[in-house]
Amino acid sequence: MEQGNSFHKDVQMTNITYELYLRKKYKINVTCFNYKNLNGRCTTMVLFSSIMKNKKLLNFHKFFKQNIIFQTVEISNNEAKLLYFLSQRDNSQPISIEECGESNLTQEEIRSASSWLKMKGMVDLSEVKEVKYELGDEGKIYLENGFPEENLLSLVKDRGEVSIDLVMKIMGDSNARIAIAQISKFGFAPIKGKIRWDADKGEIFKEEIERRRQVLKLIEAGMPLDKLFETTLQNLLKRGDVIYSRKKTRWNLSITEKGREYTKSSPIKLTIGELTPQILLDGSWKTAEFRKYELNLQGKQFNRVGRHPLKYLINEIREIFLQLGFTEMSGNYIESTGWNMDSLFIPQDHPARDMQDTFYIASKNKITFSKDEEKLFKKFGSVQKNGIRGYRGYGVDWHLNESEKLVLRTHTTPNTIRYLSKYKEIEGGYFSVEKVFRHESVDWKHLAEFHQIEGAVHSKDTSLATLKWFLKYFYAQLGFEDIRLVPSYYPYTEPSMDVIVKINGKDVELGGSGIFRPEVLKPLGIKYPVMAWGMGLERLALIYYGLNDLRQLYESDIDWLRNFKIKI
Amino acid sequence: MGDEYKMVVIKASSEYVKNIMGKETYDKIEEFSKVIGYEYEFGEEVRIEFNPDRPDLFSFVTLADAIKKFYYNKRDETYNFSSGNMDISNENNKSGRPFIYTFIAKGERIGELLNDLIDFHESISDNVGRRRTKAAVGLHDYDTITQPLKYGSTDLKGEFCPYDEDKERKLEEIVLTHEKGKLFIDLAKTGNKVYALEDVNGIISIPPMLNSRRTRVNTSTKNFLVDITATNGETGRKLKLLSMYYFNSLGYELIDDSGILDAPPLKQGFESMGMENVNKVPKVIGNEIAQKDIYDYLRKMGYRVKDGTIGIPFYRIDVMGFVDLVEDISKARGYDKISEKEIKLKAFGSANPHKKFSNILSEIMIGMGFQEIMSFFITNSKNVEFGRQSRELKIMNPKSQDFSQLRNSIFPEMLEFFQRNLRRSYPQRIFEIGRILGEENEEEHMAFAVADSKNGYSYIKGYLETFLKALTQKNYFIDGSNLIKVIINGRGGTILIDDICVGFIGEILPEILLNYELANPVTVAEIDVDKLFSAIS
Repeated sequence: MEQGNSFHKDVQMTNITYELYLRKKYKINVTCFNYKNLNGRCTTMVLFSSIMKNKKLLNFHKFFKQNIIFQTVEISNNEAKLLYFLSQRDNSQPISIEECGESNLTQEEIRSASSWLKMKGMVDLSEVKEVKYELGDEGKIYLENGFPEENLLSLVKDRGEVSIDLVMKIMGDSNARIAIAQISKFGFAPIKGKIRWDADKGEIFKEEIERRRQVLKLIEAGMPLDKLFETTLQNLLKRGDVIYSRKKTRWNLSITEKGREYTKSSPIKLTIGELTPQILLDGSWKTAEFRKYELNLQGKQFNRVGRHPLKYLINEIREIFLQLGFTEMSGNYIESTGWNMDSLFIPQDHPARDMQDTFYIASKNKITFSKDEEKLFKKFGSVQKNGIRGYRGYGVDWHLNESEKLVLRTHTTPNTIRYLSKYKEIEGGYFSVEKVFRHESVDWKHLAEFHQIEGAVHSKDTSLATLKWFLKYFYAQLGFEDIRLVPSYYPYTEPSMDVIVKINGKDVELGGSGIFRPEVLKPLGIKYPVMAWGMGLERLALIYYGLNDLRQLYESDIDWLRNFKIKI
Repeated sequence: MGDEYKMVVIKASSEYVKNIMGKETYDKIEEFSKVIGYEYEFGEEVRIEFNPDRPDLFSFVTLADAIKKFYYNKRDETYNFSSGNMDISNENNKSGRPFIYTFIAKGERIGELLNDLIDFHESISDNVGRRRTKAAVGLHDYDTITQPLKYGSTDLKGEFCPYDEDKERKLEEIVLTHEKGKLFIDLAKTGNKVYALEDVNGIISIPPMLNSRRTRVNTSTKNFLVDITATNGETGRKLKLLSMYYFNSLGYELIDDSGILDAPPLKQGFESMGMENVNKVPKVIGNEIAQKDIYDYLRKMGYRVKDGTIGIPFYRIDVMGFVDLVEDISKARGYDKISEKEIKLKAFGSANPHKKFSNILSEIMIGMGFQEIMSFFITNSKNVEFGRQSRELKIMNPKSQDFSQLRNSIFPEMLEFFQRNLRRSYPQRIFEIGRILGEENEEEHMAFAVADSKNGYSYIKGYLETFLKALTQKNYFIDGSNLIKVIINGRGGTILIDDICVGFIGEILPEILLNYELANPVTVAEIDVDKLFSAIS
């Protein structure tokens, strides 16, 4: 993992994981985020990436200081260069980052490397605040033409005595004012509008003027100022536009004992970090060594995209069916009650047809059904009422208009019936994984719409024994090796069996099955017996993905979609 | 498959159940559950949850009877009754509830069985009688009744004393205040009157709503008059049979002037079925089973095998034919005992072409960095405002405001998705392939959308180009002349492939973004998958 390349943007993070040892002998992983904020400050954030065993460690900073020692030290190329440079210096005086230019690193690289080295205890990095001075425009003029007070002094010396009016005339108003103010402090204050020469005082003032010139020259040359010049400097600072002060922060770097030891113990070689096109082309990779990375650090983070969790499951289930030779069905969500219920021998007074159980669809225009379809519905009705060949029926009333209502289909079984009646004389298998609807309030464990997995086999060989074989095979493919069949009830199958699987030692009902009743098959002329089974996909998803709220599948958090573990 | 129809629950304190069932029988409840397929809970209370197909078991008394037949060789070879002369007239045979059946059950003082008896009759009136709409049972103390009986009607202005009150009061008040009155008044009404069953001393019940105080049954009742009123004769008949079964299980004498137990298709309480059916049983189950064993299983389940016929007992109203027998045989034998047999389809599997195409589209989208999402087909009214209205197909009985409409496009669901994920990292690129309700029919749509601070028409257009490049070499054209109400004018339009409009693309209007509380621009495209398929092929 390349580290320390994060300092050229305003805020950017890199991270590195150190193995840290606690004094209490716990081994934990710590991720250090080293970043530079907008003020240019370097901050180190440390995040624990493994679960802390000791939950009392709330006062993290204190704990960190007291208990953690960096154990593994891996030095990057740039760090090595910098460390080598520092160890080669004659004295151990701190050196500013700016002065490390000879290390052949850019300022940014030096900053980055030094902050990592500091964290590893190899260098000390100290902040030094400095003041720098610069000449103002006046200062530059004074240096060339002399100070106004200097000019006034020689005027007074030449004439012995001058009036203020004359000074103003000769020097101009502003310079005259400055000159008089300055000269007054050294005993030449005007008396009754006149300034008089004094040799002793003149000598002292002349020395001061020389010092002032000296200060300006030193500043111009960018040389440090001696303490002796302090009063002079303060005088000049007070005067506008002569000199300016600028405060500056410097980072001073010095190698520690640990750093020195490191350079002694491991002779520094140039190594290759990130393999760049430059390195590839200039051939330096032939001689240099590739720095070994910490292989288990966290990688660069990015967002994954992919199929929705349910689609992985759906496709897995489709594959199981397709491999076995099943044909995939599809059908409309909006279905007539004639198909949704009557075709399946669900009588018109059955509770599942209540408004509390099923979404009914209102249509402004009357829905018309074909003559053939009406004939079929009437046939279903007659079976409910009077039965069919050896089966006595429910003996309940039946009305065509009850069969011509629209609903959001409550199961995909009407599709199965449609396919079976289309291929009524041909043996075959049909399946679908499609949506069905129930009149439920949506909450963490209920959905008003969900997917139903459904399969049916139309064959001479259909029997409870083959159904059981199929269920065992199918559930094993889904990862449930141990299934149990229990008696159940569906209006359209007889016998009917539910499938019980073991999940974490608990019995969970996961699907229903059965052999279609003759009352379902005979009116449509379906030739062979048909076995069928079905189960809810979302319940399976709940188990597979360990969800505790079904809504998560449809009202998803994008971060979950980016990060969920695919069930294989 | 996989429906969960209403389950029926019976429950009582375990002491009570033990008492009325007897210890031996009680101990078999758990084992017998594997045969019938009910669920049970034992605690201070015994709770049993049945599938709705076996109403004959909906009491501890009849459950005990079934257990005794299964485990303890209880065999009923005939079910007898006496003919008594019930003097009853029916004035309602032209009404909405034209049927009335009665019988009398005589025996010992009912005692503590009373609760079980009442619960059973409530339960069958509720389940078989479809919450009393099709048929309902009424129980009376026969010793308080003087014949003749009349099934007629009475005015709501009249007075009546409900079974659980001690004074007569106005019926019109009772139907407004009594719990049962409120529940069932609609069923009891005939014209502007209510049904009434009367003896010489007055009204004994307002069927199927309320019984009277005078004929109320209690623990000392020995002789019962049972009445069944029905809108459907067959359902009424079934309730009568079930009620008779209950009293028969208690050893009561049944007095029935209609002779129902000996009238076709019943004879001595059994309906006969040809023995030849037995040979077909192994084929349906798929295993070899000896004939002797089949007979044995049938007898354990309460059938009579005698004189070359199989007798279906009268109370098994769920048995409609041969396959019901097969189920009972399989249950008695145990589903664990079925030895499985491999089955091979004689066909090659084929995937649905639409699903195949969707999977290809999904792969293209994922390749461009889009995450698949899935959202509900049932949505809210806000989300359907933006799409084309269907021809007035609507949910008639929505469960809540949030789920009251059928979606007519997918992209509004995506705006909701972005709203929900406002604080997650960007860019967010998503797609969905799913059903919508179009103007005429259901359509399969694909929508994709991007939410990001750096976003705009050229981005989504770029994705569309890449997407279409994967599918077709045909020319396509974005027609901006059709204004789309959610798209900024001049920044989107309909997608035409060879003049076929397959969908639209563009930048969502700011007011819509703000309506969904979104802080980033959103661009979308929505495509009719079937139209796309025909346009490119």
